Amino acid sequence: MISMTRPDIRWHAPGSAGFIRRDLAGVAALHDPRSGETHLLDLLSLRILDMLADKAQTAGELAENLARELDARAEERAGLAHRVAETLHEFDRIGLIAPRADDPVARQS
Amino acid sequence: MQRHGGGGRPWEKSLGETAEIQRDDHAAVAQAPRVAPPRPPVSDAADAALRRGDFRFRIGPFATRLALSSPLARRDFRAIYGEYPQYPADRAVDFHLRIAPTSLLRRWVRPNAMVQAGIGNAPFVPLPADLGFLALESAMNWMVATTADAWLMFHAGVVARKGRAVMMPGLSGAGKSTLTAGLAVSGWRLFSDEFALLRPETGLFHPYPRPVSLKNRSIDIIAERAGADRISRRFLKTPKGTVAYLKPPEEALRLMDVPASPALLLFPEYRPEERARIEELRPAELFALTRSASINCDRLGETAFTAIADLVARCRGFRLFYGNLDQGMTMVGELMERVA
Repeated sequence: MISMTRPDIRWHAPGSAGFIRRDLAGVAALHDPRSGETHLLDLLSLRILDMLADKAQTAGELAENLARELDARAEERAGLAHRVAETLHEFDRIGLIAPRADDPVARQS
Repeated sequence: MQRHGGGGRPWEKSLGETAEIQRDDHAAVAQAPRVAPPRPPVSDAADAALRRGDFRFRIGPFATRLALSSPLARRDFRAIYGEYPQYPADRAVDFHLRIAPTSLLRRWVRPNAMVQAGIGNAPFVPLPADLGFLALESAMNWMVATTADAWLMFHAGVVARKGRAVMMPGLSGAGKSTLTAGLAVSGWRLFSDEFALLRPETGLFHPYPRPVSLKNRSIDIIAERAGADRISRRFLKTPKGTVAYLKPPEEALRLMDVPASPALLLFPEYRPEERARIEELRPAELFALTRSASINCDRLGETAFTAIADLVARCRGFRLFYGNLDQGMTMVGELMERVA
């Protein structure tokens, strides 16, 4: 697991095409066939995963894109960035995301 | 003796016959294959077969070939399983179990009973010979839990009424066996007090009506309702205290090939010191609790995930806190009416 103190790492969700999802009234149950694990994701976490499935991003880019999408106020952005960092940490821990393989920063870690 | 013809097992036929859900049990019986009611085996023949090791019987979808060397274990088995259908000798069985002393010495000196299931590293330990029947029950639990992956299994009681089933997952001590037994002798059809068997392909629960294990105070509570003749002798000084078994009602065995549609998921907790109440579970909570009650969801992977998600989508779920058996049973009945 890569330290979250490297904000320049570009994260992506390489296995996302194989994830199986079911909606549970605002919470998503997500099954990862690679690990056999099942996870429950709230809407924000699910959106972060979907954004990384579409395009590799750093934590900062994710937070910025989310803030724009959610029309977050200035005073909300710090909290949103913190939430993004926490979510990336957890996704990395459970194997839903990984640094881009061609990312020079990740290779140095 | 009830026999089954060739061309698949009865429950496999019932998958096609009962694809339509929401049927009354009486209608289901009318459409189920007509077979003669099972008759208790002739004592001497059954006893001889148990000694030889070629006694075959069926409970729901599982057929077992059994050998019991102890006369007391054979007597207990015939007293408790005497109404179950036997199984033809020309058909393959699912499990082959032998309960016997660990050595010739142990037949006479501090006699014991040990399970032999033909599987290495099985977690069985010898029990005193007078608990040979408990060794058999433990062995069947273990064999089903570790091998029956054609089913999505839950550690739960299941009863049904009018073709609709309620599943009641719960840890040991939560009261689910007593509640299941109480319902089973009060007009509900017993599917199981221990294993909920869900067919992933159809989403239906299938019966597996084993004798219901009762412990300590629950024995007298259920005996009063069911009649003392439906309760086995008491097995003393077991790891769980005093244990006895409720023989399933006749209907549970007669309809053991008739599945039911899931209607309600209940998580009962016996809390006599608290006020009785129900708490409805949100879908995500219900999914998490139901999945945690599954015995083999990790082995089944995607199949289990989809089946559990489908189950949660079609059922409402509640925590049920109750203070006595009558109260718990009433609450189950009212909840079933509510979700109808």
